[in-house]
Amino acid sequence: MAYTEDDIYQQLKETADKLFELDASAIVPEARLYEDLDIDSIDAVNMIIELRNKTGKPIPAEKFREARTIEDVVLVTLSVLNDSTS
Amino acid sequence: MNKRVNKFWRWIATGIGTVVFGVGICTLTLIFVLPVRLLPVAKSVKHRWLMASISHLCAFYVKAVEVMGLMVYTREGPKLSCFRGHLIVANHITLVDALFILAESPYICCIVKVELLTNPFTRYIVKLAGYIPNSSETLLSDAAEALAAGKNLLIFPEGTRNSYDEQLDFKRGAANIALSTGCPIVPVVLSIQPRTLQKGEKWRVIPDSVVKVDISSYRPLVSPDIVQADSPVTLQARQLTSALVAFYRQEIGVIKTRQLHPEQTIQVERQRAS
Repeated sequence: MAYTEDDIYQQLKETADKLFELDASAIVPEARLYEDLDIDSIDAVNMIIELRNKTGKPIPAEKFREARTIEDVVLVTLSVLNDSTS
Repeated sequence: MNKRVNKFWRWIATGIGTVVFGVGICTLTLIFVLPVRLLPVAKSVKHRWLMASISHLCAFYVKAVEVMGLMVYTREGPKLSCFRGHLIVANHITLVDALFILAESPYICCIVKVELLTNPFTRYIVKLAGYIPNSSETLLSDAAEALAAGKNLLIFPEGTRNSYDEQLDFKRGAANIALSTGCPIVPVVLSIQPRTLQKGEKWRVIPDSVVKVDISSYRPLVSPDIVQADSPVTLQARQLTSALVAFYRQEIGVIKTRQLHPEQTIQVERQRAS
């Protein structure tokens, strides 16, 4: 089954609540990870590990090197997950 | 002494200090870049030599700055030479504050801004001393390795010089290192009056009076005493960072009170002693 963008947003909202105590309303596409959400590079690594645990799929951290916003994270996650399922 | 004459002297002395320090760094670079590199000795030994040399250079520089009448400083708390494998955390108040800390122990490895690795003046020293760039993806494992080798790590969690003592805009790198390695934190709280050698300020800007630096170190803090063990590490890093900021804010308050009312402190100390 292929993941949709909505699935990923849902996963991200749960992850952001658990790891950063961020409200789901803060997880919008244009939110910048560092400037708006105070997610630093070490947080980002922990976030990817959490996504990996949730989905049970290998998600390589280096794919997220260029990600600056929530939308970037969603698109990268989506492409990684759907690549590995197909 | 006439205030203007004194200020003129401090202008000259600051120039001398800057040149002396530059020559010191260049000399160390030349010694370590060429002859030492060729020696068949392990890298870790060379790191140790350079850390010790840097410590001596800083001790000399601190002495020189004091003798020339540019800065006076007070020092309270445990000596940094007592510690091995600890994380030394300090607030960043001026360009030269690291020198006061490095002067105290030959076992300090700095976590540095990545810019110091591209700056032609500092890059060789930083590399040869085995300093760790803060943006490194292997920051946590590099830090763990250095601590396990008995080095202390020096980190300024503000990442850059602050503009006033109470600013304390700590990033979470220091907390993350302490949490992932389990190493104790030695807080070093610094206060400076008047402020000098600020970010973007030229060395030629001479303050109106002699600079006074107050340096206090404290008994080590351990993270399990501070954070909630059942939170995810990301939240623990936030808890530890805010606890550190609160600690620094409180201690800077204590130092400022002491600066304003030195006679009261003496009384308090007498009471304690009796």
